[in-house]
Amino acid sequence: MVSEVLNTDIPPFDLLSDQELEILKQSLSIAYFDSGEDIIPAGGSPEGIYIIIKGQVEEYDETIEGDRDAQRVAQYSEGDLFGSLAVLKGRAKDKYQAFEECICHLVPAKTFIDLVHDNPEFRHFFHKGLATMEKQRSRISVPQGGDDFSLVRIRDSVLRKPVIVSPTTSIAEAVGRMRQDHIDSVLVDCDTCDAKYGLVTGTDLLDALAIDGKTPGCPVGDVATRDLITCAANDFLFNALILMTRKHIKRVVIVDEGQVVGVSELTDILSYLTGQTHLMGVQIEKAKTVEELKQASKALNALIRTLNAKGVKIRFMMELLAALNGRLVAKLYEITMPQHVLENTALTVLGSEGRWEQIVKTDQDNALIIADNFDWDDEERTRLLNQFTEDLISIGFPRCPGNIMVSNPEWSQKLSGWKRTMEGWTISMSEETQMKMAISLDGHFVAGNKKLFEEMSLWAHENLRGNDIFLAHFGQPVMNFGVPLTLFGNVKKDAEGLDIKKGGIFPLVHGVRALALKYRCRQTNTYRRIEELIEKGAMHERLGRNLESALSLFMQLRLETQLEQLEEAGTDDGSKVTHNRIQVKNLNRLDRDLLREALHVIKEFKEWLALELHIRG
Amino acid sequence: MLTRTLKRLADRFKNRDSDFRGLFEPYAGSEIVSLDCEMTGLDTKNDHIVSIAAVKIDGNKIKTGEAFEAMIDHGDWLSEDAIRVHRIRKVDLTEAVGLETAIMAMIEFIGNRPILGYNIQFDLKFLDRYTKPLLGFSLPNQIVEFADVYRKAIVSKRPDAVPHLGFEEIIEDLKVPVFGRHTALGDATTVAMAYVKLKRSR
Repeated sequence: MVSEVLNTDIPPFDLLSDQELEILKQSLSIAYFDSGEDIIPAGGSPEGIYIIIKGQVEEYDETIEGDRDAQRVAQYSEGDLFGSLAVLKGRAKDKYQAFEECICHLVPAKTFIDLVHDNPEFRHFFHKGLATMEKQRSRISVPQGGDDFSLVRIRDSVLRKPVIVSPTTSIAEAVGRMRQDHIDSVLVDCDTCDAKYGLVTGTDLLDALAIDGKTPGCPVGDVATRDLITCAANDFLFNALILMTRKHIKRVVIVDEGQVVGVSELTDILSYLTGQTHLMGVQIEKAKTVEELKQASKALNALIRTLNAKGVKIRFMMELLAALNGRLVAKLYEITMPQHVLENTALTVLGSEGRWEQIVKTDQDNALIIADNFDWDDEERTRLLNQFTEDLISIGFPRCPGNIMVSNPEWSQKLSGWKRTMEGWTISMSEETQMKMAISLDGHFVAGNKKLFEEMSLWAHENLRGNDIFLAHFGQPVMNFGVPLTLFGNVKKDAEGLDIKKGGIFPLVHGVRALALKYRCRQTNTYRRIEELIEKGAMHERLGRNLESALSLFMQLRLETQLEQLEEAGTDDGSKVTHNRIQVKNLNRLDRDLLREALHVIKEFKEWLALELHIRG
Repeated sequence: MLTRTLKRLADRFKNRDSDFRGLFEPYAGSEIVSLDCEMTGLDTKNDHIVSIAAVKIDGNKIKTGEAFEAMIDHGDWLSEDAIRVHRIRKVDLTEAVGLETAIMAMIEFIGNRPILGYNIQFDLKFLDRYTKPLLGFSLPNQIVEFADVYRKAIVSKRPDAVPHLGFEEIIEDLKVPVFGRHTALGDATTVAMAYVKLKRSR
């Protein structure tokens, strides 16, 4: 059923007042374009903005050298809106052409400009950075009914009463106070300093005593952190969570009209988010047998569905799941390995697990670093590691098709062996070794002797940056797949869907990884790498934020296709997820807009990266 | 047809000094109006007009935002049949206007533009019944029968074709979106769309 009236219940038209909607409706007309007809010619001033009722429109940038395919920058179909930028600028840079017969609503330029002028929210929508559009998405995808976490305010949820001590309080007294109140931090009231309050955490006090040589009698005022990160009590709980994630902190100070009213702890927020999370953590910690871990693991996919349905941001979901999965793997290792093995080995998760970016467990990638002086009996080693791989499979981490698992001796080496192997990788430059290098760079310690991992990581960090030729080579795969900017064109492609991993996730993740290598970032998570790259001045903040938003969108879309596939297969077995394709035509208009925008971010990123890493395009 | 032309000339003469003389002027603009009425039945003598809608077409654009639409209040008589065909319930008529008001507003909206419609003579017969006592003349506008436009377009492309001229069949053949079937505005818009397509596509 095609509607003759414009749907004004969806963004951006839902931002208009009733009176503005009336003005809009009275100005509308329906325009017809024959196949191949120019709707907005390049350089022309458009009549207005168009919303497609039927048909497809293509946007061409004729300044790009090459054929029509090279010039095509975007495609629009039923429900899509185009021409807004051209109207706002008064002149179209690109040409908009009817790919097939098109029928569109037309909002005249003058009406549109008046509305943009009079309504700031409406205006904001069209000055769309991806980040803004993302907000629009979360605004409409507010889940129906039930608990809506995205709308919970801090003051109503996890506010802890602040415990305030004077700056002259001794470290010993502060520790006493923390123990007494079962808290991990106190606020220090220092009226005399610039910032009214400082914060000391248990870790701060421990560091002060153990590392900085303070005595228990020293005043806490000397130790307190002054630059407090605060959040308004009225702000959304999610924003506090975002802030903590962004700043890598575990608590924020909550203020209300300039007054400190409390402290919110990360653990409180996560427990609040889902009672299950906390329980699941406990269940994992308590497990003593593989069977018990299996039970805990089973609940994870259900948790993912719950969180997704509750509209929990993908980035938090990833971190949460990474934490839980990490604990699961660590616990299994601790349960199944004898003490002498635990002391002399470091279990590392690689690839997406290492980056904390795996939600549905589709495969296991792991490796083992063995201490050089550990004389491990061959028979025991083979038996334990094979068993470990099998156990991991049994608790829900499917076998790695590339055999990147500790049961494979190639991925279970002594420290010195690893160093030689990795050095070899930087020289060989074959596609296979590049891939191995890439997933190893994402390695994250999970269990055993952390010192081994740190030594390995430090060594890699110091030695593997390689030269520019290596970096250019390493970054090359980013260019291997074209960005699928035309979402609707090819009918064949339509039937197969758009591979979001090849077209979006891979170039983004790998490009950021190559940059991380170049600029010696030690983070493994892509968001954190981006953050670090921005901090180091290696990446423009605007690009960085857009990449973050793009990655979140890709991950969200991929999660949805993965969950669908599991649902169809009627299983929780992640190995049944066979592809990462999404059906663009099934997305709602805003998601398509977002996807289109996100893919443009990838295109821009690739162009910039090619220069940055001297990659030949 | 001839009688209609003659009548128009006669009416034009009679109205040479009236408020309606503008309606008899030849139209010089580029617009055409797609008109549709919904009736209580097919009997041009005894059935009634329930709603009138009209929408202007200019080049490749249909001016849906300033469309004309009037629901006509006839009191309490809406038949079950009409309700079934047009899905107009009595509650839908709450903002309905009297017939006289509707006709005058329609004439004001259309002016001397040509009128387009599917099986338009049928609608005009109903309208005549009201315009004659009210104004003393039938609508003098140039009339464009959509089915004729369609038939000519088809035959010009395929001379041996025998086009089906049923409304649903034409719309199906042209593959234009159907806008709210069985509402006057919906049908007027659908016909307008189909007309634009016939005029614009190569």
